Amino acid sequence: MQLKKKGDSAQIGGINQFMVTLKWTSAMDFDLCAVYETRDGKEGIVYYADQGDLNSFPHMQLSDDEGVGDTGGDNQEDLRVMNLAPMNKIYVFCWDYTAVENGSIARFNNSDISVNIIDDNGKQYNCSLDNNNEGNVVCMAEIDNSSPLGARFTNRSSVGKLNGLENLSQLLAVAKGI
Amino acid sequence: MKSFRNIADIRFSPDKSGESQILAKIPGLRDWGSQSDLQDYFKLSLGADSLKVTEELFPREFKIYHEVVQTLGLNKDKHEFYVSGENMRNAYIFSSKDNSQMVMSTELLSLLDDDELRFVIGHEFGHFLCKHSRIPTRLLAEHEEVDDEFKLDLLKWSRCAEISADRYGVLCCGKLDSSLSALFKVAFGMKPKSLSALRSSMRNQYNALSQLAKKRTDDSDLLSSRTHPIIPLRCVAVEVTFMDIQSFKTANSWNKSAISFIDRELLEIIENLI
Repeated sequence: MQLKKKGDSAQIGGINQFMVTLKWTSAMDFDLCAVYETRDGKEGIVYYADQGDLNSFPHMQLSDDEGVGDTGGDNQEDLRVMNLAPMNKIYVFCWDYTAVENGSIARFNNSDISVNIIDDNGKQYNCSLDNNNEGNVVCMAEIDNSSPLGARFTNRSSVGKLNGLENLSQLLAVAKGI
Repeated sequence: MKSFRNIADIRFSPDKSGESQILAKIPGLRDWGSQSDLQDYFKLSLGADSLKVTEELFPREFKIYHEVVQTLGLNKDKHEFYVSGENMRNAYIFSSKDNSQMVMSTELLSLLDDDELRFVIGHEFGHFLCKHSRIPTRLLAEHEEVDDEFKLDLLKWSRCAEISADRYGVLCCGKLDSSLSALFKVAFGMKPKSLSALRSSMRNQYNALSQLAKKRTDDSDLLSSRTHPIIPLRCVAVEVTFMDIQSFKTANSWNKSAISFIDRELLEIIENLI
């Protein structure tokens, strides 16, 4: 299912495991990153410097870094989530970490970034960036697991500009469009 | 139904490297499985003890077998499926260069639903596609003249080969729960009461074993004579690669760098314990 517009969403139901894939072909060093909120109020991040763990909390793990040194081609980074049950929300980000560190603008608009989710029933959902604003970090998608009806996948396309990353609230503010 | 361009890509990477090392040590093995006299002998014994699966005799099995043949892009005229009456849960494949004979016991067949059967047939074809029968593991592992260190390498490779074959099973089955319940039924001969309980139980056992594997002791060797990895490892290996395989099925491309850390971890457990 394609979620092309900001705000488009799909009910993905009672899934427990899924894989998030960030894809792009342009010669840029983007990274996939995820921020999570658990049902009991914990917050955390999985990114290139802390790739997570499949066997213990947070039961999610990021693949190795791709596109290092602005390499073009079929760049792809994956995040496996093995246990969604304790999570309330997971926000999926794409950033240019160098640009985040020095406050410069990333070239999202010249790229073709998209996020794909494949769940443990084999169903796939895809969302593309629907925002032309300038920035260096974009919250591409949200997986909302707070409803008893099951998880919902939403195209957030929320762009922000950070000048150094000091805490998770900065990323959550981008995700929530604050 | 489409077939896959790079179907060999999903193979567990230590299976491939292990096979190369073994074949380098005994180059004559390259042609072992394709000897026509061996194949004739196998066909003769099949004809004597087993029944060929035909549409009239085994309609469900015939249909599913041919669906899997088509999924994997194989030539249906070169592959045969037999049912044996042996009193155990068993499935195996005898393969040569471009043809194969698969055998499944009626005891196993009667346990499996359609999706689980797709998994088991896909698993056996995985052995064919990876040409695993080139290395007669059991024969060599029991041979007096083969040194002990090489025997351990052979058995380790054999366990890696099963991980590869499971990936082809998943590819053909397409459902995580059915793939896991197929593994459970083959191992324990019964239906799991709850699939979510099965998943968490397998993961807990896997975690306990991986901790043991990390502090390897002499007792670790107790399990090193196994040709198949233990079931918790196989279940977790299927679980963590399921979505990669589904993604491969749709996009026909395999992200090697994404799977490499999974392969490294599985190999560590296989090397150190099971």
